[in-house]
Amino acid sequence: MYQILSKILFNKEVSPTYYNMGVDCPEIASRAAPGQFIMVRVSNQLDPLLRRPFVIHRIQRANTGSDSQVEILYKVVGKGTEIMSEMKECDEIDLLGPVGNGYRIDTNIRTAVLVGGGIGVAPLLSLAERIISQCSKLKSLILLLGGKGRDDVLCVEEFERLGVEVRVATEDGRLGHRGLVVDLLLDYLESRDYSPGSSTHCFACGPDSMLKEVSKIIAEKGISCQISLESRMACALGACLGCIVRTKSGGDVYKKVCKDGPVFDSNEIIWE
Amino acid sequence: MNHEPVELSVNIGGIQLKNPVMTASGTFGYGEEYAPYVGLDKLGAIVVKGISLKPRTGNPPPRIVETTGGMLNSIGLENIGVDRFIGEKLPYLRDSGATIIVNIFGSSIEEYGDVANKLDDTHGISGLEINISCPNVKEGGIIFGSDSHMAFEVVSFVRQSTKLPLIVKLSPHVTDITEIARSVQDAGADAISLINTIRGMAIDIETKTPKLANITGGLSGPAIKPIALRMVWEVAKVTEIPVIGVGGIMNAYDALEFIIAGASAIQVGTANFINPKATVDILSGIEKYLGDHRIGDIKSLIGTLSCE
Repeated sequence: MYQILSKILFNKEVSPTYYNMGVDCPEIASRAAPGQFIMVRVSNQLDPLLRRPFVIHRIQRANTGSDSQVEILYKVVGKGTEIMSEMKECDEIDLLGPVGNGYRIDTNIRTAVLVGGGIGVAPLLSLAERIISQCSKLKSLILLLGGKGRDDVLCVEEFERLGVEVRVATEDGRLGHRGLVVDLLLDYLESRDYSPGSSTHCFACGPDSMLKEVSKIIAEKGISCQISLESRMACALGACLGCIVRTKSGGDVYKKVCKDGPVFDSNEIIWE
Repeated sequence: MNHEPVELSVNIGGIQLKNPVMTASGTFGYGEEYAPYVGLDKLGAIVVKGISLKPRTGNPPPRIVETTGGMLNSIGLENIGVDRFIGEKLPYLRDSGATIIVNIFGSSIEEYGDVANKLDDTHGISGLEINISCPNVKEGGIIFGSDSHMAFEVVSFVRQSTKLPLIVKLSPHVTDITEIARSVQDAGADAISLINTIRGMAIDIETKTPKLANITGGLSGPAIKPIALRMVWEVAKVTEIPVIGVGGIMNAYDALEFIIAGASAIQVGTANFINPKATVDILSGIEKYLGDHRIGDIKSLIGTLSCE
């Protein structure tokens, strides 16, 4: 893990209140894996005080062949992200990362189902890129994407450019299916276009309510599923003990989202 | 500008520290977590996460929330227990060459004594810090720290259970901090550290629920520094034993304020979360200040506050 001051390459609004920031940080980019995150210090003032965790959206390769930049896709939700959204190209930003364990990719995957809710789509783009480049037996890669409204459905074009089949649900019905992304998952699993067994894997990121539902549905089908959790945290070093989650293998002891996660097997989590 | 080397060592109730910069318990794990960023042997001392006789699960999430210029936590003293600490965490820390102070707590006076006794026989520990001030657990913690008779009892008992130097960490939740400081001094404490966090809360106005599962939590960070500084100043004036300043120290200037107010050493807490190198940055800032002001020995700066 590195603590470095990085130069911002771009910081653009991709949809109302959603931004994508690219930062030049070879140290982090060359070691980052899909699902890992970065702690961002948005200001050197004392308020806001703590770093903010952001999952890595994309890991970009420079022409030289080494990873050199990462992208952070974020939604403006408070003081910290508001400050971030006002940052400009060439500004410096204080980063700590890459943090945590990313998604584990079994290279024998034939079918991969990605499930994203709102800003939870963020890690799935680099994941899709990694799956495509590493899984030679891959037959089908599908993204089920949900959002409150049209503006909350991000990155569809980027996924389609990779050849990913994208199905969309919005709660207001303005785009795709009217309803929740879990409806799409139920529908997908019921239709016969997935091959049951160990070669189908599911990867999900989104709000806890969505992950809880996805975990339940997946458990019934016996498909392996990895989910990426979000949590409040102060340090991301395993010291503050703020970002804990109860798991089945942990017994009485909580696990730490920063060190043991943020990606967990869905059947590991005991939902509060 | 080149400076003569400055003398930074201080003695805290029999514990010889290379310099006055320590870590605050609960903000530095068991040291290992920060080793990629900080030479653990470069600090005055590492105070580890509070240890109890048996492992503790701690409070349910959410445990942390940021507030203006500070953070609330309600970890609830989660820890692996004294036996696993000695077996799994201490060897690494000992090999790092760090000066190790173990923060301890119990749910009864006897339990404080038992933990102290186990650590007394363990090689590589320079001192104990007795936590009588955690605001986040019902039993133990603050019950002993808000009453000077209870504080006297627990410190006396631990005193009989160990030969190690004893630091007692005080709670700000008292009417007169000097009264409890005198009590623990009379009970045999070798040093006093203060302050622990201040109880606070935060509310989500949309859901009308507390932002912490525990409802209340301990406030730390720059927001509490003026309170900590005032209490350190009050205690340092009336006690014979060294005082360690804790509370919202974010940089060397903050640390120097505490030293001028009467602290012989300082502990860095919340700042570690934001800047993993905060302790070493603060140490070099103190060194620079001493050089710039031609102060050859940090000890000559302690308690130099002039109120004329």
